[in-house]
Order: sequence, then structure tokens, then C-alpha cells
Amino acid sequence: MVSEKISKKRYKFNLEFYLRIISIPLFFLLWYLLFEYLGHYRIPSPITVFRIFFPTILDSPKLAMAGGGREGFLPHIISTLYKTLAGFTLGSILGVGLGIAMKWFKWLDSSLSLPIDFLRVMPPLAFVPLLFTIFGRSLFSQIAVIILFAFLVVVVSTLNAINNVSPICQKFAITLGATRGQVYRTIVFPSILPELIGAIRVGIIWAWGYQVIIEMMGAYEGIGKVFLLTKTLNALDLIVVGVLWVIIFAAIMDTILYLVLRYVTRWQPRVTE
Amino acid sequence: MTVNVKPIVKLVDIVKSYKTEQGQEIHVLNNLNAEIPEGEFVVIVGPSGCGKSTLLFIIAGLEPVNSGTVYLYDVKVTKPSSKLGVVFQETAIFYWRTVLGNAQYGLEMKGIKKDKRREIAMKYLKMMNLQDFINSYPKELSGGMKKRLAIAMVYANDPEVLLMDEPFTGLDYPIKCRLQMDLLNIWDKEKKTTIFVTHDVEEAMMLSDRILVLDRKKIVLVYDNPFERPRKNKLRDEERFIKEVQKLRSRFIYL
Repeated sequence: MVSEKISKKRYKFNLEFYLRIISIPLFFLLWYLLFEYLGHYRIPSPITVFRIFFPTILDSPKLAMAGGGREGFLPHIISTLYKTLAGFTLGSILGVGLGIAMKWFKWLDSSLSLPIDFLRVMPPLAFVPLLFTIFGRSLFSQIAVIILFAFLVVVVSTLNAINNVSPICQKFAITLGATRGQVYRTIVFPSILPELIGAIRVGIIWAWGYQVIIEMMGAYEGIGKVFLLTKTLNALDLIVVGVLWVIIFAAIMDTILYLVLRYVTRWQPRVTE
Repeated sequence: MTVNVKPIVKLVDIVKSYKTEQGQEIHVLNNLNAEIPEGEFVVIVGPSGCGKSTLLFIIAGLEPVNSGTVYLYDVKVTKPSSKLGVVFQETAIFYWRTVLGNAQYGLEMKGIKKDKRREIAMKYLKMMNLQDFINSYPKELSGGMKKRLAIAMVYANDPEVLLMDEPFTGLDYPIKCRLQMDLLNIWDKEKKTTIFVTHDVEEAMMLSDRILVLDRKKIVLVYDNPFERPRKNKLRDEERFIKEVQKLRSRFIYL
């Protein structure tokens, strides 16, 4: 009886394992079949895409022809990356700073909380045409939306997180001799860090997507610009390569932040039911 | 046991009331007076909700009074400070710091140098038998160990007075007894003035030099503990101890 249960368990375990392994190749098989069925005007072949994926990093004649420069995808990837990272980092720092300041100075909280609530619900991309018109399609216009978005996400997260900091820990710190500043530095900040990193992890993926779209709305370089150019050429294979790069870097950023989150929450007790 | 030592904590005409959300005024303490001499272990007992925790927070400077004054060495107490150490009922240790980091916290805030504060922290962690866990995070400690850490943290900070708000309430009996012994051990070494609040009369009898019974918004009874020190766990089973606990319990139920 026991051996029956064990062998059943091992059987089930094996099935799940193999399903996982074949899921990705299965996906590519379906892609290929779809390609065969629809033809190469509607969907690029996975084989073509793989063939050109690595060479086009540094050199893509099609892209050069469309006006995307002679160095392939690389400069565009770097452009989108650094715009997203710079913008998001700056916005986050401003967000945390203001969030803490608003909790420190009550008058700041009272005066800013309504405007923040108002801006928070507006879609960030709605600002782009306005910025492009006033400031041109400069770097500033592109990053400004990302900074604003990051700022709003992080400031709201900071305010919420500070509200959740254990009041008894703060009281205990004070009876141990901590000043208000020391309480903020040694109690409030470590307590809110997990929630903050969690919000940043989600936010930065959205920002990455927004940055690509902003570039599609008329930037001079970046992955979004590549999409814009390849549209005119109808170079479906390049579009798919671009999409792959977007996915790859989204996954990389997510993974890095996941590891950071795990480190930052290493002291947290696991909730067990 | 009367001690001719100058009182370190004086409570003069303390009046305290709360306003409920409905706007009702609830009087908690009414012209309460008490004096606690240096080096004494005083336990305040009373039924739940009688205001003993509130009184403790008032002494600590964490709660304001409606009128009356708290004196620490003849200086008025108006706000919390490291002179009045508090061990809260809820374990308030810092989960993001290691055990050693926790024990060093007060010293770190004072600006004491790394080596010195490590030395002091280790001394009290050893007294609380936590020396094997100095690099662990609090999440790895049991409930009793967390309490011991909180006590070590406050002791390491060298307050003038130690205030303890029902710290062992809610723990199961054997752990409670063990913690009481740990507390007496560490108290014995430095005889730090301690004000301990509880509703458990047996606990009060085991720990105290004097017991102040808080009932109907005042101290209604001052009881001198007859049992000699050092007190061991087996005292709990002795007939004279049980009798004395019953006697005291009955006295303040009918007061």
C-alpha cells in the first residue's frame, strides 16, 4: 500500500517535470507551424528570427536602411535602458525623500497629499504629447514622464509603508534614547525598505514598457524608435527581435530586483498559517 | 522590609482620565501618590483595565497626566528618555537587526564606540543566556528568548529605573516561571530600581520587595513581601507561599 503511494507520487512528479521541460520548445513548435500556415508576410519564421538575433546586435543592414544607424540594435537597447534606469532611479530617490519629508513635517503632508492623489490616477503617457510640444523630443521630455511615474509610485508606497511601521517599535526606540531623527534612520527606514523594493520591482517593469512607447511616439533612438522604423519596412523579423529584447531585459530587471528583495527581507519572519 | 533610602521615583497627586470616542470621560487615576526607593523591586498589581499600564506609561513619560507630577530624583518627568527603560507587553525588538545589533541599540544611539558597546551588550546577553545567538535574526528566536532579548536590551542601556508592563503575560506557565527566574538573576546583580506591572498575584509575590495594589483609581494597599531572597522556583510549591498569595488575592478582591 505504501509502495503504491510512493510510486504514484514519483509518477506524478515525473509528468510535471517533463511538461515544464517541453513547454518552451512546444511554444516554438507552435510558432513554426503558425508561420507555415500564415506565410512570412504575416508572421516571421522562428528560424529566421534566431538566425538574425545575435548578428543584428551590432549590425543590421535593414535597420541602417530604415534610418536606425549602422550599429545595429545595441545603441538602441542601451538608449532605452539608460533612459529607463536613470529616470526611474531619480524619480524613486525624489519619491522616498518627499515621502519621508511629508511624514516628518505634517504641514507638507496636508498640502501635498491631494495633488499627489490627483496626479497618481492620471495615465503617465497622457503627458507625452504635451511635453514633446513644449520641450521638443529631447531626452528631457522622454525621461520626465518616467521620473514623474517613478516618483508617484514610490511616494505613495513610502507614505503607506511609513503608516505601517510598528508604533511599539518606535516607542521602544525612544525609551532606549533614540532621537526623532535616529528613529527615522534606524527604525522607519529599515521597516519600509521591503515594501519599497517591492513597489519598485513592479514599477520599473511598467516604466520600461512606457519608455518603449514614448520612443514610439517620436524619439530619435531607442527600441521604440526601432519599432517605428521597422513598421515602414514591414520587417517583421526585426520587430520580433525587438520584442524579444524588451522581454529579456524586463526579465533581467525583475530577477535582479527579486534578488535584492530577497536580501532586504532576509530578516522577515515567514507567515505560516 | 523598610529601607531608609531616598525615594528615586515619586508620584504626586496623579490624575488621569481618557475621553472615549463617544465623548465620555473615563477617570483612570485619581490623586494617586506613591514613593519608590532606590534599588527596590516594586510590583503594581490590580485587576485588568484598572489603569496600571497607564500608570507605568505615565511614569515613563510616554503618557501625559491631567494633573500631578512624576519625579525622578526630584526632577520632573515630562517626556520619555533612556533614564526610564521600558519593557513592553508586546515584544518590541527590532527584527531587521541581529540579536547583538538589538542589544547594542541604545548604546549605539548614545554614540558609544563599537568595541565598548559590543562588550557591554555581550555582558547582558550572556546574563540572559543568549550568547549563542548573537548573529541570528530575531525571527529565529522563540517567544521566551525574544523577551529575554528585550530585557537584555534595556539593561544594557543602563537606565535609572526599569519599567516593565506585564512582560510575561500570555506566555505559558513554565516559560513564565523560567523568565521570572532570569529576571531575578539579572536584577540581583545590579539591584536596579524596577517597577513591574502585572495582574498575576503569584508573579508579584515571587518577584517583589513590595507590592502596590491599584484599585479604584488609587493605591489601596502597600504590602511588604515577607519572603527572603534569593527566591527559587520551588518556593511556589511551599505551603506558606501559596497561603500568602491566597491571602493577598482575597484582600484586594474584596477591597
